[in-house]
Amino acid sequence: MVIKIRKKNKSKETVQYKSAKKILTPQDIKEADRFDDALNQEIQEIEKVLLKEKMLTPEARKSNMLGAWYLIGTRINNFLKKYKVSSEEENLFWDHLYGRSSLISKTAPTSKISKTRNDFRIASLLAHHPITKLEKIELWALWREIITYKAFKDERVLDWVIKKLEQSPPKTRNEGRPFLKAVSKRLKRIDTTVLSDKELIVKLNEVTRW
Amino acid sequence: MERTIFTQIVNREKDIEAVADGYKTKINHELWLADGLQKDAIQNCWDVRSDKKHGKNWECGFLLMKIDNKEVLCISDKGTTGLNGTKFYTPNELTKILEKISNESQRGEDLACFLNSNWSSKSIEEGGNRGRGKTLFLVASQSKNVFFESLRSTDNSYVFGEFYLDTADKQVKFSLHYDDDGKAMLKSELGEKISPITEYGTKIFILNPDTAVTQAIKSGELISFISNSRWETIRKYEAKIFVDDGNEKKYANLPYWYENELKGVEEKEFSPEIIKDGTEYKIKRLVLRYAPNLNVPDSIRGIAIQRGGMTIERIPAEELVKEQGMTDIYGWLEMESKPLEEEMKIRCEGPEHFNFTWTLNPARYLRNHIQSKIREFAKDLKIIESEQAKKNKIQKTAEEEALKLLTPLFKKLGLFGKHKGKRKKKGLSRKKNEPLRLSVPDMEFPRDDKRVNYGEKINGTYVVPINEFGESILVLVRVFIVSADGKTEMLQEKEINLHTGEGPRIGPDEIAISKKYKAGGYSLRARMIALENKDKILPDGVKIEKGTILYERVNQKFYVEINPPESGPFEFQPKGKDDKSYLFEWEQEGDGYIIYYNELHPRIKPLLNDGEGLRDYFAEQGSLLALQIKLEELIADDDKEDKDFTKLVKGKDASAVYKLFLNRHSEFLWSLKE
Repeated sequence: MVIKIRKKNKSKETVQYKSAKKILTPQDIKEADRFDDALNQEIQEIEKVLLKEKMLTPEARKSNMLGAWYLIGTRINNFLKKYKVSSEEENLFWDHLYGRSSLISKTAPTSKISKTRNDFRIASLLAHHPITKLEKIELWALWREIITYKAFKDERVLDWVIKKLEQSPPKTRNEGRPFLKAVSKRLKRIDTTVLSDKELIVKLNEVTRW
Repeated sequence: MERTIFTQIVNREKDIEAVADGYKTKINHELWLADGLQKDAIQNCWDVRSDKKHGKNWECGFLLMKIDNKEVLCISDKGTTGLNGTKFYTPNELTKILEKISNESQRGEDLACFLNSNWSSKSIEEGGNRGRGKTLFLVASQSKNVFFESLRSTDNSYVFGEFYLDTADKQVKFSLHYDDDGKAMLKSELGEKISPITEYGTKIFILNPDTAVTQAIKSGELISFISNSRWETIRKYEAKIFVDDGNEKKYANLPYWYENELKGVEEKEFSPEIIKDGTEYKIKRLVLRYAPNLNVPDSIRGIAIQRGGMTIERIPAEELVKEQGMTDIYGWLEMESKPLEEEMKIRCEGPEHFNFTWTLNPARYLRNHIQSKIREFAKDLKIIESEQAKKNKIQKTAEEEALKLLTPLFKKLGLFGKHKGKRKKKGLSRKKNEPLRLSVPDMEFPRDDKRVNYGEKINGTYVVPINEFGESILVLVRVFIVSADGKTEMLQEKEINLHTGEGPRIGPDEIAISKKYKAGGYSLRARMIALENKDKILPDGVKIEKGTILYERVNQKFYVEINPPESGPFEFQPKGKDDKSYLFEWEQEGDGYIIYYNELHPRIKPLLNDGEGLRDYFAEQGSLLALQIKLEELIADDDKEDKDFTKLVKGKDASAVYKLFLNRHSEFLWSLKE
């Protein structure tokens, strides 16, 4: 999918079409326009729902940060089921979700946001988990951290981490980070898929200091 | 001296064959007889409808039945006038009627015309008027024998008759019976099963119909032929046309493709207009539709040229406009009856009503008109590229090809791929062999650039585990393919006790590239995982325990049905400015550079339509720009990789810059020409 990109330069807005494909056909441009319209419409719909559910205020304040992003992630995942974005264009897609709603993300980032820090992508990843699980750790910022660790892709590891964080909930992301790093370090060169639940827990329980 | 005048004796059997050949040539499919028969028969029925304006209560049908165990095809109509005209009882009376038709253009002699070849009582506005259709009834009868009955609206009179080919003298003969005599003859010829017609109209009984006709009825193809050619009549008048194979009666429907407001179909309707300046030829309506993803059936594709409510011919859009995407265009054209439709019929239409001669006017004007409208429509929808888009394509291709040509220079200068991170790669020396590793010794691609097309194979897609660790170890080896969108396909997963030396091959001998692989980039990967704890540690200090990833450096990329992406630090982009001092400028973006070129510059502008010229110019200029960028990077990074450049930077001698550049530029140009 070709991504339509709007760049604001002083008072002027320029439009570019970007894709992994080097040569774009008029059909590609047409599809990109359609995709862009649909995406804008979806973002507006999300805004409306967030306002209605009171997760978002008209002043662009999220009263329930985790809930709001979870809803955004769920809606985006559904949108992506309908409109396929190839992996080559995925980064473009996430980058250019910013700037479409001044309520969801108040200010568009001035520089490039890395994939691991992109709120929309994080929301999309988190929305694959049940909200009941996520609500055990309310801090959106901490979830942003958790989701970036490769080792936590094994659901068993994630569950263990959540359980541990529940036992002594950190107040801030920085407070929780050393523990997450320690778990990740322990599993750094490990392919957990070959481990039984018991074997995995033994290794995880070795993480005692952080 | 007395002159004896002979009348030429015509072999009517050959005439019938000639008419059949005409249809066969024009229709050009196996069931041509069924298609031709339906078209002519329905047109004849439609032309004699009682309610000319609305076609109210009109109906026409094809019924396949058995009389005395013999197949009979009955073509009937209702809401029509029947075979009106002067009744005749003797050949002389018939001759007088035909003379009047010939000399005085007498109209309304349906009965006489129906029974005689190449006579028509129809006006020019009506569908058929060549008098050929009825010959087709004889073609359709294997025994060349047809009965008919009609109830006439002008005098409420009943008429029954037979016409047939007399194989003895090769003449077509007929007999006629009126009123009660006719009804008695009907009973005598067709038996009790058939009752005389009670509503105004006509029934034709074709004895022993040709197998192509019965087959078309039974298979349902006849009803498709009807729908596809009579759709306008069905749409405008809700005309009822049925086909009954003796088991089930089905009415022809409006084909889906001619319904209004179809989803996924873009439409444009061109309003009435003169098709050629200085003439009165005017179309009523031209509707063009574009259905790119809906697989429009072959029978509907193209522009249907309508006359008298029927489709005479469909001109494929791709025949008119030779561009991609044209096969997804269909539509129809209706003409104003005078003078365009009338002249199209008289001058250009084939007698079978299946084609026009497009080299004759006004058909030629019409074809040119449709052609220009299709082009306009396609441009509106961007189906075909505008001149600007074509120009852009030339530019894009030139940009890409120039980058390909520049790749060796980029490598030489140590300028790496735009998407490969900062150019701080110190040499390309291979990492030291690890004691526990996987090797892909025999992998072979069909071509050097690792592109693989459907139907081709990648050979040697297995890995060989190697143990130089000094002791056996239980491992799991996984060989898998990862697609560009992150999907994984496991090829083989095997647990082995890996002794010192080489282990067994793991993975398939070959991968056959089928359509299950979507076009795009893929990686063949492999991983070796320890399945037991070991006391010994790996050279990088990692202790081996169950789950330890021992090796995962296998990553063989291949590209299905696409060329591998070009990597280079540059990307060319057009940016036109009315600025004499600007030919090229560059900006850093990410890890690479975008080279903007001034497409308005008189040095570049003339090259925009010349792909090769533009490519060569970009390549030449690109080499100088690459040198400049390299120099800038060296100054910024204090890199000492290139001795000449290092000397240049250290020497701080501005006069040496252009000299070095020119040397390198010249070398590059030389290598290009080689």
